[in-house]
Amino acid sequence: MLSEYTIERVLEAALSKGGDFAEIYLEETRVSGLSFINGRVDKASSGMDYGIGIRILEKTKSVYIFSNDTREENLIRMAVDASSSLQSVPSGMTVQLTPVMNFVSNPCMIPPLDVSKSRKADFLRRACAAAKEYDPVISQTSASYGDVQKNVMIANSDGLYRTDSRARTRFMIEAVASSDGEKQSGYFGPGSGKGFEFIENFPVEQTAREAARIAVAMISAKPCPSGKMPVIIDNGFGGVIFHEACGHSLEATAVGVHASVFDGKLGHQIANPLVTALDDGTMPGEWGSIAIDDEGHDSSRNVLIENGILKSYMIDLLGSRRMNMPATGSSRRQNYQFAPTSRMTNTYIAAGTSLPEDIISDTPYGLYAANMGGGSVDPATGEFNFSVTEGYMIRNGKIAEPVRGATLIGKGSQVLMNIDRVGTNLALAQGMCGSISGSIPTNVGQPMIRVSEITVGGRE
Amino acid sequence: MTYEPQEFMDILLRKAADAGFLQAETFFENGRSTEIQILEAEVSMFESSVLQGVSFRGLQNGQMGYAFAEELTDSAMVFLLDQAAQNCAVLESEEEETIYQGDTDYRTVSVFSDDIDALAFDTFAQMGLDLEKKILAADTRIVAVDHCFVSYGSAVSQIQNTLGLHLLHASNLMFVYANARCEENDQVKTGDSYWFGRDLNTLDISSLAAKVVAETTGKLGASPVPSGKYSIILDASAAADLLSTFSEIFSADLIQKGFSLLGDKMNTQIAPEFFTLRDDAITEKSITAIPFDSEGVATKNKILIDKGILTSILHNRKTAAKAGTKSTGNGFRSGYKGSVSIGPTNFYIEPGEKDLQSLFLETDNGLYIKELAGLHSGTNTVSGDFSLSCEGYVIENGKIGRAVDQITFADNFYLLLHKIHRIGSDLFFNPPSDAGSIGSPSLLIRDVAISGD
Repeated sequence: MLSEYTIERVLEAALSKGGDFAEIYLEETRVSGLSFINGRVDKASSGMDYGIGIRILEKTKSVYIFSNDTREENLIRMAVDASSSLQSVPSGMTVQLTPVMNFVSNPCMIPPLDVSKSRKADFLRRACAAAKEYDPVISQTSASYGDVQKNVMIANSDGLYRTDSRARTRFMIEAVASSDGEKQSGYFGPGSGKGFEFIENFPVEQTAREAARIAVAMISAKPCPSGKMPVIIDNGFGGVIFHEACGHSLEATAVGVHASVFDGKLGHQIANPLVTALDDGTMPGEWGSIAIDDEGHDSSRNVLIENGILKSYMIDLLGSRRMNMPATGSSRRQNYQFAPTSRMTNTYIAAGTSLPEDIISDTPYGLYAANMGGGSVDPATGEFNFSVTEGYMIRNGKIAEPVRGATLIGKGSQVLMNIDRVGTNLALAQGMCGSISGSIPTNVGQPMIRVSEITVGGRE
Repeated sequence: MTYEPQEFMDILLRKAADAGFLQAETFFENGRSTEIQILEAEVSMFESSVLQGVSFRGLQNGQMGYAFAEELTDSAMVFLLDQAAQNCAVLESEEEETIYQGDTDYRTVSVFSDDIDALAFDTFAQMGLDLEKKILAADTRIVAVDHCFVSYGSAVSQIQNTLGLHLLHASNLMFVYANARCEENDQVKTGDSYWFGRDLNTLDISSLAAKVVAETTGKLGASPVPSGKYSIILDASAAADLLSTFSEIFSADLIQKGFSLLGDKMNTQIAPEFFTLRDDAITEKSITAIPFDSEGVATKNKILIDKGILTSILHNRKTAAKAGTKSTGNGFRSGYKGSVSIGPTNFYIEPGEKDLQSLFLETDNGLYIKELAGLHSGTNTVSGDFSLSCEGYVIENGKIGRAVDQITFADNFYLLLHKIHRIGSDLFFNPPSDAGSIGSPSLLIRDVAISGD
């Protein structure tokens, strides 16, 4: 880590040839991972990330320089070069840091770094065994475990000086079913913003059997039908629909440059009145939670949509300058190799009042999407897609035959209005979200919802 | 203290022997990057980096343990040796992974240009500003250029091991990209195009701007088509995207572990007899070239599917030993953070004889699919199933008609290969990934499930 004196000198150097704001992000990260294939430890990895990013803003122009070389003379040289690239006039600003504030985004009862590799391996062994034993058609299993301990220091020319300790643990299990020369797979990847206690308290075998159950159900499933139909999307990872259809389009990255379908829509009805949605980085121990964002500001709970009305965007410093609105504690980045920008944390549709069994029994025909994969969106057009990994037809209000995965597509502005049932069973699920500031851990979430009509990309 | 790279690697390899490693290897990478972004006639972002990283792998108890670091310090050295040893202790691989003394000959390649390495900030800015200006001036329906950047990256990788191997590979590349937004009759559409290369004489900002404009405004008026079975032309770039996603099914590692359906298809007909798939690390057709893989094995030119018959798969040293064959020179790492795995080099479908116009005439009525979305989520490489959002145009009486959006294209990759009816002559390589580029010509495919209205 750098001395306070060095930080101040580097920030001043960053403003020596121009710029009105400078920021340093220093990171030291330890990662460790294990993977099991077919019941054996196949890969074991360990690594140490170390680097620094220096950002300078002048109004809405920005400069970002990053390196692993944190020797003071190199940092000063980088900072002056960065400042020169603005081709502007120096402000003559001096920097005085406030006393350092230390945060812990993820308090760990059992720090992952203290846990031996063999103890981590035992847990994966149990997962693979449970998946394999589930059914004779399970032919392959794969499981992996990863933990991250990231220590960051953020300081800026306004005097902000903060550190944060961030820990995450994640477990993934995949089961493959084989029959008649075909293969199908089932997958779960639960994670947390906690230490190894998350893994120790996790129902490993049950989750592994769930992955196996999906693979077995899908190996006997027929291809999904095509066309527009009502779709019931179950809770947890089903929330990927909101993440893609709406979440990305509410980020300042898109709104700040008017490249979002929801630009200028604050106070307007953009979703069915049944829909209330939040982005909440303050939830304790959650996968997407952060004590402070990557600009060093407190994380917050932002109501995005209340009863269908757009209430807030997710805004970082650059976005706040472009939009002339306050930042929302939403600035995030994968690591020092990315300038931070507005991103999601734990984003979900709040629980409604419909009982899940009633939503199904009220649906004469449609698709029931029990488990989902990832997706993507073009925020400018709102055109999104996400995949169903476990599906069933609904006939006469009952869950009927299984159908193989299909992608669901639509436009965000339409699909939000077409949500006509919101269930009571809210749950969150973990994913990695990719955007211009890299890949970051985010939670998606929702209760069971029904969309009155959406295009189902089937094969029949 | 912080060491110079060569000194760090020499000391680390010496210390590895003392730490009980029978074999040891370092993989070092360093690189530099520069990028400028343009927004509303000014440079909105300037980004620059100098990065390095080192991976250590060593053999203990018959297992190969890995660790990486981004600092070249004494504490990093301790960390690498300690963590690699801990990883050796927990691994249970049945086959031994070993390091390699190297081949006697490697082909020479030229994938580093001093010209683009010497370009100044002002040149980058001028290119980007010119591109944005030309796009905005071309058509009143273009309302913004949301993303426009010019970037440069260079990378040097070095492999050094206790069997005396010491190899070095340097490459660089420039990339120019723009994404525009247009509006008409309450419809918003975006489209993009790019240039990449090392020879600036092949970069024509005016024609790139024209491509961006055509890709964008061409989508106006798009609407879905009815669900049903269609003949489609999968545009070369989209075909390369799909091929890229499924390229991992050719990995001997996934095949040996039962995660690819190609396992029992060797020497059988898996595609039409006019279909040939190659993996060639060094070919004048592609801008990327690499003389050796991350294990130091010389790369080769291989036919994977020969006239429709699966004849070869991709091996590293470990999978080759298990199969009783030789490495195909595909033992690549995804940088210093990854362990030696298997990856393609220049991986492409050989072109046919008919140009795109002839394919349209042959299709008569159908769809021309230009873009696929959701490849990371809508595909399952274990089953081969995929369902992807796509955009394109109607083909009517052998000609391009109106634009089409909000449709999906769903099939199974293994079944799709058999449905390919004609291969175009327009071989196109997508921007490079780790060790090469994925390429395909446009493909005429019959009897494909499209979901729409």
